[in-house]
Amino acid sequence: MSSLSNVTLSTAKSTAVWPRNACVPRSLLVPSEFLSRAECTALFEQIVGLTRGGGETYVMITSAWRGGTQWARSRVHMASETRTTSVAISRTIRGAWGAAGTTRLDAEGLQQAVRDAEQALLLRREAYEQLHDAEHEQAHDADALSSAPTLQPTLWDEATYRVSAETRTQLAQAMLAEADDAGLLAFGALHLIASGNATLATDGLVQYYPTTEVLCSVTVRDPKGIASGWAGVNHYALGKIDPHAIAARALEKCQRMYTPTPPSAIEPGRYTVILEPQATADLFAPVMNWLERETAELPEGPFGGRESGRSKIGERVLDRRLTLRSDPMDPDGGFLPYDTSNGTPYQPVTWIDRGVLRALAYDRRYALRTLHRETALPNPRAFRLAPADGVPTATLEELIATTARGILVTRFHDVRLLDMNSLLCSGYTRDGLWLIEDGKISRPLKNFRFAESPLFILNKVEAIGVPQRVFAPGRAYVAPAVRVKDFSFTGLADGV
Amino acid sequence: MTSRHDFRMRQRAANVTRRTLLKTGSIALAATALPYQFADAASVGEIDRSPLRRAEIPELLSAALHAANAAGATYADVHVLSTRREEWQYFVGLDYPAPWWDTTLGFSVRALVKGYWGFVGIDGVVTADIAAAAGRDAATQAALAARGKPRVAELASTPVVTGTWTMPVAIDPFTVSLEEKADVIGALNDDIERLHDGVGVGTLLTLSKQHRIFASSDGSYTTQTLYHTGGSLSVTVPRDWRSGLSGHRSADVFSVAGAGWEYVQQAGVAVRDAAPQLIEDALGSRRPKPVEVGRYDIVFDAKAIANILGTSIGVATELDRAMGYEANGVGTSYLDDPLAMLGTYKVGSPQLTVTANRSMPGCAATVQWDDEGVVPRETTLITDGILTDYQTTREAASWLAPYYQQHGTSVVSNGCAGMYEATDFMRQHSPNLVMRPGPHALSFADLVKNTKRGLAIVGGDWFVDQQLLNGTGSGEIVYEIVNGKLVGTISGAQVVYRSPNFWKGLVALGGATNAQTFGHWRVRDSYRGTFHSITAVPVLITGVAVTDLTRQA
Repeated sequence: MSSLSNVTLSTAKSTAVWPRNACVPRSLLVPSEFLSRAECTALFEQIVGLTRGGGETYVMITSAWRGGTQWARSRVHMASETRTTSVAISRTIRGAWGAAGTTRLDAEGLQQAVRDAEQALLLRREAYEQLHDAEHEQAHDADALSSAPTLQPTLWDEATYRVSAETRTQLAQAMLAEADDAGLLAFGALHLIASGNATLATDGLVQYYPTTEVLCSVTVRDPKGIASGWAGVNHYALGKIDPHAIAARALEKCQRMYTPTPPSAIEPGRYTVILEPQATADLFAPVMNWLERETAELPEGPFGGRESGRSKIGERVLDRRLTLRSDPMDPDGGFLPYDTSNGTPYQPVTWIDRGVLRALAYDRRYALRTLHRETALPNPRAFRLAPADGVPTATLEELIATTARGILVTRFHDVRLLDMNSLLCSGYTRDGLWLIEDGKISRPLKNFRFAESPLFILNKVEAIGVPQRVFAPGRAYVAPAVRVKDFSFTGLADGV
Repeated sequence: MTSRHDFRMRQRAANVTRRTLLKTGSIALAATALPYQFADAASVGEIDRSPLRRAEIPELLSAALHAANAAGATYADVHVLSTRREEWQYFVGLDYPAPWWDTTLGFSVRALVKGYWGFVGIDGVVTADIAAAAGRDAATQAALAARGKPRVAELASTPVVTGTWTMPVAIDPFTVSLEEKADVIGALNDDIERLHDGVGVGTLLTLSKQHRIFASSDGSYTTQTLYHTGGSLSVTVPRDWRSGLSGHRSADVFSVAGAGWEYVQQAGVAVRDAAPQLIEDALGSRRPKPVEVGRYDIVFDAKAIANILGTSIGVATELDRAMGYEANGVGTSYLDDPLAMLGTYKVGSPQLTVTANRSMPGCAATVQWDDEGVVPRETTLITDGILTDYQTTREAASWLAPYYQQHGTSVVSNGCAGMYEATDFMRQHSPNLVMRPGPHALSFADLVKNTKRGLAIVGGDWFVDQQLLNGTGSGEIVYEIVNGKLVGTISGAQVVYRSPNFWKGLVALGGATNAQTFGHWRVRDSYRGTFHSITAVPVLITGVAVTDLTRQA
């Protein structure tokens, strides 16, 4: 059995065919695993050179190398490497626009994509010329856009990038070994991703950022299918996570789901629950989609005011001990520092401060027209939900120990919005559910269906844990465990 | 030191001709006696808009397979996928419909070494050298994985196949002018909006043409051209002055099909004919009465039951999922012990029979060969309520060998191997599902007439848990049935079901003339998915639990 401790994340010679680069264009005939800044710039210039008719050209380039190892039934069943590249081209002439995308970077492919975008543009009537007014120009003022600072979070980890296929596979083997030795079935995935993403435009916009990402998740199930445990996380650096601990946690959860007794059913109803950080994030994530000022001022959604033109900014929307922030420089929750759809830089923003709604996102047009400001406030949909400064926190063990009777939830499945004004959501619990009695986990439970709003349950929190990064592929979510009362479980859902 | 010049050079290199390849040092590759001598380019079939010249493709395929074999693969296959997608949206607030295009081209190799799979996928144009490198690396990946405990991967046998197939369509949608498309879509929206003051129409139309090239180390070599055409059209009516509620209704006739532009023309006619009723349905739904929680006999229209069938039986019988290969992702299946359950597990009422195929004309999963070169066979997943088969690939079919052998059935794949794009490693592709109709010519209206008290549900959204066992959903419109008549609409009705119990309540099915086919997007994870069709009839199911959608505990 290989041990994770024997696996070193060194820059060992890769067994893959293509040697790694370090954001540097590669030699002739050997394709880049992803595009560098220079390559993206050259590609942009090539695209612009193919355009006809003047106007503006906007290009979004996404390129990524992905090395993945997946296992099921305690055997690695797929080891893969992929290189994906896509270019989205938007052409604008006198307000009319057209767009097209392609994965072909050859001259013919690029030319076709440019022609596609220009054909779509021609179809649109120049009724769009009404947009070509001072406000429109101002909203797309290159000088203003380029002068907005772009933060420089650390999202690239060279050591992660240089993990060889051999090392990745060894890690996977080590992660499944313990469950296999225990007679259980291990399932999981370890993906390492290196990306070069660029947004460029003929009005002077230039944004490029290389990133690495690790996706690590493990499920352990018993062969009879009565118990399942899960753990996972994503981060920009492999060194920031502990694959061994993830595997061990999934194994422990599975074992606790059927020993000493298999899961049993209890009546649906309202319960005190402890949501592990993953469950908190699963339920809270939909809130981020509604932090939009124009929508709120319709008024519509959970942050809509009492009348048109008003929002709930200044009103309490969460427990006073909670704060919600998005900050590209967050050491645990950092993210790409600009909106890839238009290049607008993200700035640190406190959306909710000590429970009070302080900010809602808006685009530059809204900023100019309504707020008389130059810059937009875009919504990155990445978040850190955390206790406010000075608020005491508790470990998960302490939360359990101080619970007279409640339910411990690992995570949720298929969270769906039922009502946009209350953010009432439904879904299912999954991969680990236990009854807590007198400060101890007493027995595993069968899963539930729930109907609950994150804004309801986080309006009055009993206790808050230490925030930690959770599993959200392609995103950065940091959330704490929380203990809340009266969580609504509406029915049994005995799927495992 | 590299530069933009190098980048452009690489692009030119990607477009080299056969002559240039020889000059730049691929002579060794060209001169080697390759084990895979694919047919002359003339038989490859047209690949629109692809830079890969006909003569180059067999060379790429050979290079990849040769390299995979040389690196230790006992089996390998190669895919070249080229897709052209065109999407139109038109809704209230847009001045004019206009398209968005997406063109993809990708190359991938899958290799099997000692029971382990390796995979390499690349977007864009590849050269023979890159193809060889991909083959070598796929086998290397597999060999690395094989250093673990032994794993057995038996591939059910399949005949070697070669050939070209094009999905039969009357009109290639990419030969239709943009102006005509814009006119058709715009006119459809405008004509429906004129039928009633305040009506809004939203239309989404997606056209897709895909070339799929497949070659295997067994010697198979196929090219296929597939079309997918479809989308959605929905009608919204203004808020009612009394209730404050707006109304909404979707047209059933636009969902994705394996068809060409003629499908849009036919669907457009059908939608125009149905539009007055759609508007009336939407208007009539605005003064619902609140649901009373309880158990009901429910008449589901074909669309609603197709949605439920698609997950509770369709997805549940994907063998890789049933065996846990998606357990760490979207979940598992309640049909999770295949060898114990086949032939005995009661999925539903004896009236329930569901077949799977990939041959039905006009359906979204229809192909000549799947992505392993298998000619799909029609199979019966559920026979008179009993589980009798799963959707399989070549490897998955071998997992059911004891069952097939016991029943004197050959151990072959049902032809459900598929990938969405070349960079998407091989998984299962949902086949077309067909619910056997009832023996009598019963319609939705007939089923309502035969129901003393209950609900009638049309369309809607349906969801299930991670094991496809517990589901919920609500109809787009829910009607109350009293003494065989629809007497009004109901708000907030949420159906709650447990898959086997639900299907055991099936007591009546519509007749064959009331069968409808709907296209579905089968999503495996957040963005990857495939199209397939589900053919269903209206049904009556008894004893279904209905709760209040927004009621909490």
